[in-house]
Amino acid sequence: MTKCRIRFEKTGRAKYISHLDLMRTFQHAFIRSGIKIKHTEGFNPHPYISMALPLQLGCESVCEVLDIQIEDDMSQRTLPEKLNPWLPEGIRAISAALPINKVGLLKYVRCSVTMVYDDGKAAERKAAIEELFARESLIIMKKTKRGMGELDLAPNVSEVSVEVISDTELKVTALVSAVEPTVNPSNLLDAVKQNAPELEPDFAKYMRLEVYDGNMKPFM
Amino acid sequence: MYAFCVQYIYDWRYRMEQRIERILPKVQKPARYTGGEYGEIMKNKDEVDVRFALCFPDTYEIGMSNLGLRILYGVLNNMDGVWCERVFEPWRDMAEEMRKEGIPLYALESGDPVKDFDIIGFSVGYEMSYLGILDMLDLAGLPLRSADRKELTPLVFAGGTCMYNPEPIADFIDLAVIGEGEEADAEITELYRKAKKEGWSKPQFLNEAAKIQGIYVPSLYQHEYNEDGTIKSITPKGDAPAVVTKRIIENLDESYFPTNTIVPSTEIVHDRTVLELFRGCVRGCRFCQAGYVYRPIRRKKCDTLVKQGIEALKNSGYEEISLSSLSTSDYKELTGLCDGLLEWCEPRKVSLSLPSLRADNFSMELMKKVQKVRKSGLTFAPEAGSQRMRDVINKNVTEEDILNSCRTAFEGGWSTVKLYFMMGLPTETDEDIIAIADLAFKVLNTWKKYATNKARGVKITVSTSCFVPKPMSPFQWEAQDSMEEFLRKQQLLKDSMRSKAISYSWHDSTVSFIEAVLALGDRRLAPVLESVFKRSGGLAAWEEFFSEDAWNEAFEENGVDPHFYANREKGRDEILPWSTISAGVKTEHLWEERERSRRAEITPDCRNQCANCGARKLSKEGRCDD
Repeated sequence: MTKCRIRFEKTGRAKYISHLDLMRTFQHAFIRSGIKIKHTEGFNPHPYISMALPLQLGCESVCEVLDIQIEDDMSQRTLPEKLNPWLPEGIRAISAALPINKVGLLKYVRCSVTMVYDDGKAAERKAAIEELFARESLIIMKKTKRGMGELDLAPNVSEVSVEVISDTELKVTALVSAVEPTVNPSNLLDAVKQNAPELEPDFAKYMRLEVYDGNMKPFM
Repeated sequence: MYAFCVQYIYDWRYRMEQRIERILPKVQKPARYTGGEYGEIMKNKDEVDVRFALCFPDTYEIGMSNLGLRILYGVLNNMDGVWCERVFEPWRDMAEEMRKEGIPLYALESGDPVKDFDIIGFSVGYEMSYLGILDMLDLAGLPLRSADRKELTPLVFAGGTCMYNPEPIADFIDLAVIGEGEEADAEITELYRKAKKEGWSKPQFLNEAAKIQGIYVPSLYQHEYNEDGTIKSITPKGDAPAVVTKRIIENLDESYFPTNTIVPSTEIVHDRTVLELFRGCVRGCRFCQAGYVYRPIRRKKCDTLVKQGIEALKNSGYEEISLSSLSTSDYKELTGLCDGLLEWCEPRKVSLSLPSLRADNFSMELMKKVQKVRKSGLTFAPEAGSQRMRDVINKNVTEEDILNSCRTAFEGGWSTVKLYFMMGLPTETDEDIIAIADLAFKVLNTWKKYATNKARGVKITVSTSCFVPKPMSPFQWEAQDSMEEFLRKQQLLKDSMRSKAISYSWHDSTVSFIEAVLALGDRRLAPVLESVFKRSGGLAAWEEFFSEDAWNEAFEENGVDPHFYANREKGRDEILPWSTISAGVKTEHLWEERERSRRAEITPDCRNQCANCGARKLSKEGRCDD
């Protein structure tokens, strides 16, 4: 058994594949590829796949992390080229290596929200959005396991930058807490909606850009 | 492996996605509406001259589970210059968003609007999905009626089991393919290509199409009615034949089978590899339309099946393979087939499932085979409770057969058994209903006597459906029980159940009644379907969208008596709406079988004695079950 951590992207139409369906998609893809991976024990054994941080439905990512154990003696480095032909459009392994740290050490996520304004006046809102994310406290109401709860984004969101992409698009990029508390890219939009409704865009697109450990090293 | 064109993906992303992307976050299970699955076929639009929209009038999850759809997708895409794409009926939330935003129905592969396709082909296997056809045409932005679509393009047609009586949807489709579509769909596509190139009018094309065997053009048949509402005459026009005979594929070993097919990225109903063993059935159960319309029996060789099964599993990555046919235990080389597949499957932890086993020859050996990897519940379909009733329907299964099979199952460690029955069969009495409860009780006693593992307890489930007389079966002349009668019988059976270990569930008779109306109906139902669609939309096969009120109001509004179709016994000489269509089985044979049923007389299965039904004439060499 060889431990293996794969970094993969999930972009385009594939962003609508749910977390559970993505697990199944990988299971089928591994079987197609002929790469033998460890199966779960029990009555219905199936390929064992572990994903670090489930991605929200509709969010794209270029930094997903997947752990498996390979039965055959093969180098992790060649895994992406062996697996990629068997994956659906939009899902692509970028690299694979021996994991150097535990999944639990994943701490921060850099992500972006692209806000679309159909009136073509995206640039005019830049300053106000910057001001919003610079506030000392930025409370949002968020669904938790125990119903609705409050979360202050200010201590959990940093390195915010706001970029004018086009007349209609503003892109907010930020470093957010990945766990305890979990801040999703969509929470950045919640902050806008709930604290500055006049800035609410007509549509928003989300993307995960990088994942880091506690020392801000890209998570490998 | 597949023609893959990055540019078209970009087209999709930047042209359609802009609008579709905004509604997808608002709907349930958006992966159903995006395409992009592993194995989908992309082609360069500049290199194709026929765009084919293969439409399934139900959800993605149901449609992608349909083997026929996958076969036709492969056959059509194997044609040069043809790009066949998939279209399913969106769930209500998606349809509402699409209508609100003015997004027309689009094909999953290219994202292009269906209305811009050359050919729109519907696969129709269930009468309740007729409203889905209207829903999809409406979402596409096309006129519902064939007569209102004046141009050749887009050509709208339908195929599938329901087309043995296409009359209820006759006014909506340009033509119907009767029988198996592998060759006929390709011939229609070729003829269309020629017509388009030469600039034919739609009537010119339809007249030519009617000359192809198996093609039924409803507009070329004039229906006239008697005062009592029955059909007086059906007159063909132009080059249309008096009777359209169905198409069959003679050699299934040589015919296309999808071993390299789409693997959905979201869970579908039958999320596994499906292997088709044979078409047709030797049994001749008199209620069963499929048993008659798929004749003659054509089986695939064991070697072909093992090869195709393994190939399909390798290419899909599925961990389950299911053997499909009308009666799997009647496949002559079943043991060899299971052995051949299991040899490959077992070391790879792939499981094999065998639906459609008959209660009479269910063997311990076979059971042990399917049990090797995984064990699921067992389902038997005695169809009727009393021996007399089983003889009437020619089920050819005895109580002893059923109990022996159950004993084998219980001894083998099974503890969950489902028993399927039908209610409202011709000549049925209350004794026949009570016999269902008696039989279930005997199954329970068999468990008590023979179960090897009683600690787990037993679960026996009895389900009853409401009998729907179907065209082209010996019971095509029968009247369906009234809804009140079904309710009474359901209550009677419920009261007759003798143990808490037996649970009873039944189908809603309202749906079965509408099903009968649509199965036995004629073209006068067109305005009814339009009214129902206006009132309650598509997806009528789904309980949450089926509206009894909508149907009743629609019948009322259009002056149509639904009982005329469903609850009236038809005479021997009555012209039935599907009289212009032949499945190869002689009407005299069907009538003879009906007469025998009245005498509770069984007909031996085709293997014991050929009943001379006429279907073997469909094969060039007169072959059947060789």
